[in-house]
Amino acid sequence: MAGQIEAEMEFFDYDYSSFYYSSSDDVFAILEPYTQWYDQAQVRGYALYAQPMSSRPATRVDLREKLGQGRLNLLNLSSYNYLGMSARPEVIAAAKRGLDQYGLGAAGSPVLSGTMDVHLELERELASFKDKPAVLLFPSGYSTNVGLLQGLMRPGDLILCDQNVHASIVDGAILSKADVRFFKHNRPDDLEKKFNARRGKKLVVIEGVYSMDGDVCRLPEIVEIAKAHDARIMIDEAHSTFIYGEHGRGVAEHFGLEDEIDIHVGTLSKAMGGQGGFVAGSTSLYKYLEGFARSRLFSCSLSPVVASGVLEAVRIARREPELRAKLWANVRHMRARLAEHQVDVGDSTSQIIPLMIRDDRRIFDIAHHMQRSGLYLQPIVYPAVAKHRSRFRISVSAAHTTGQLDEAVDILVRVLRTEGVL
Amino acid sequence: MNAGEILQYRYRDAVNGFFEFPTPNARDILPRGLQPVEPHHGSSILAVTAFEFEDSAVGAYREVVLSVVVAPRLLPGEPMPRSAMYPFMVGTTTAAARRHGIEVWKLPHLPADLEVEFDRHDSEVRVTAAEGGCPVLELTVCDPGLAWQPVEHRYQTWSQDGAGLYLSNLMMRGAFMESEEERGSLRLHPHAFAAGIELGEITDTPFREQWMRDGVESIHPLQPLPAFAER
Repeated sequence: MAGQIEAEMEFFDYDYSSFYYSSSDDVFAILEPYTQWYDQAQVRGYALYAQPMSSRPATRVDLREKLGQGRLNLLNLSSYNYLGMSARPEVIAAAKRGLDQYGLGAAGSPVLSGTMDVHLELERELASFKDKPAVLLFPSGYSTNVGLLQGLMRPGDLILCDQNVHASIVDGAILSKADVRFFKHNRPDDLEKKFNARRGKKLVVIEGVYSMDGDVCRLPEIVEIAKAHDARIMIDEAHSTFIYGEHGRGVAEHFGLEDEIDIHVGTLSKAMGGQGGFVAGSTSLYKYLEGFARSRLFSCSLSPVVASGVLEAVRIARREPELRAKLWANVRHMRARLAEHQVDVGDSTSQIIPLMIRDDRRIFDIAHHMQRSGLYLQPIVYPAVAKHRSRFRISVSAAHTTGQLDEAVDILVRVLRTEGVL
Repeated sequence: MNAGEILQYRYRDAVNGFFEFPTPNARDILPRGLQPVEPHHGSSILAVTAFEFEDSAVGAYREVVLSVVVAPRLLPGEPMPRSAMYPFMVGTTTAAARRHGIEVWKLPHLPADLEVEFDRHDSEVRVTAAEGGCPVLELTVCDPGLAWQPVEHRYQTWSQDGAGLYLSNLMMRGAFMESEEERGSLRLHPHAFAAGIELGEITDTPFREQWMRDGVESIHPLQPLPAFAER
């Protein structure tokens, strides 16, 4: 049968979602078809993902090619290190002091032996920064959203999510066994429709800045609709904490709506260049999640080494608002330079700037070309984004110099022209 | 013609929209053993497809099809399908096409002729289906200006009868356009054609639109998979 069919397997028509279910009662039956595709995917471009880095994720990075033996030194536009904290000498020194004082790991769950004074100090610092009564620390951003939603929501409740929310929110919602509905991205009118006169407990979940498009949540309209339906509101400010608002508290502060939001989530792996996540809210929310957020309850605490470094990073971010100003100056410069060359950046208004390619086949060739030309820029394709909306995702950092941003624009414009995109 | 040969259907237009609808509804429609593909947790995919066939073993006719997108059957060493469908309702414009679809492909058909019209413009095609003047559906698929590519795509289709499930490989050759710009639309009217679907729960904008022109659909013989339905 198979031999009668002439069409060749088309790599670009498949992705991870094609291999979710197997066709046999053997658990391992899916492995071979997946491996066939995976091996081809690596050759066709997926080897650009997860290339091992042998340097700090700073503005220049050292990478090792996965398929070849080459070592590359590239200008980095791919890391989240928005305020350049991961390589700040004071942060590294604080982490070293933490290593000397506490050792490598917490060696316990936060509810048993894994809470150290640096964890509580970091929670207090973050609560003061967010101007909230309490902050609960989690070992990762992923575990924050999973534990929060699983811990708070129950079967029969309703969770209404923007369709572009992070996988951790989706997974937490699934784990809670609540009913989950997705409204169209940043469309308050669709949120209104999805409430559908539903009674009972309701939670609206949005993000401050969406990570693939770099666009900002339409928070005022969403808050208004959620309030009209007596729903609680949770905002994940993973990509906007320390960046938006007068004090850097995020998009909710930017819109003057902090007190209208019931649950504030942030991460320490983006602007802080470390690891971990947190929930900011009431002390009663803190106490409840401490008991019911299983992703935290049954994980080892955040490493005290990381907690020590992040604590210093938070303090630096608070006392040096000029870092935020530098980031925004860099964002404006980058946007202006890209606009000079009519580069399509979609709907972004943030430090995440998508460079729209809209060709799922060619983007990997273009990515290789970018890398050979000295630029570390990751291709983003379906299913992370819609089909035919492939793009490169530029992460601008306060640590970039104007010269580095100009060099990056020169490279990418040259490559895009050579590839016929511009 | 019989179920043991590859049958070809030459078409002028084949348009398709993917619409989200609740997974419990999809599971109600699907036989055991088939898993709906979920673009979002709790949402499955209703594929609404319309064909204008210019030539086939049963002549020229038009057809509208409702399918659930399901997980493909992947076997080591075999070519992979682009996607897999379980068509659960077909409406055609001729009795000959209806008999053919039931006898050869074991597909459930609306037991009446439909009027199916294709209204073509440069950037969109609007398909309307009606029975005796009563509206059945309106489907609009748009071309946002992307390049049309000559393709040959492989799909799997599933069907069933009292003996179990059947799988067929289906090849679509022609000029192809696909977009996720959410410009198209769907309106399904209360009608026997859409029986079994919770009409109020289907999105009215497709998250994916596909349009093929001037090509050939080749359907390979059914493979009986009785054991699959027992899983």
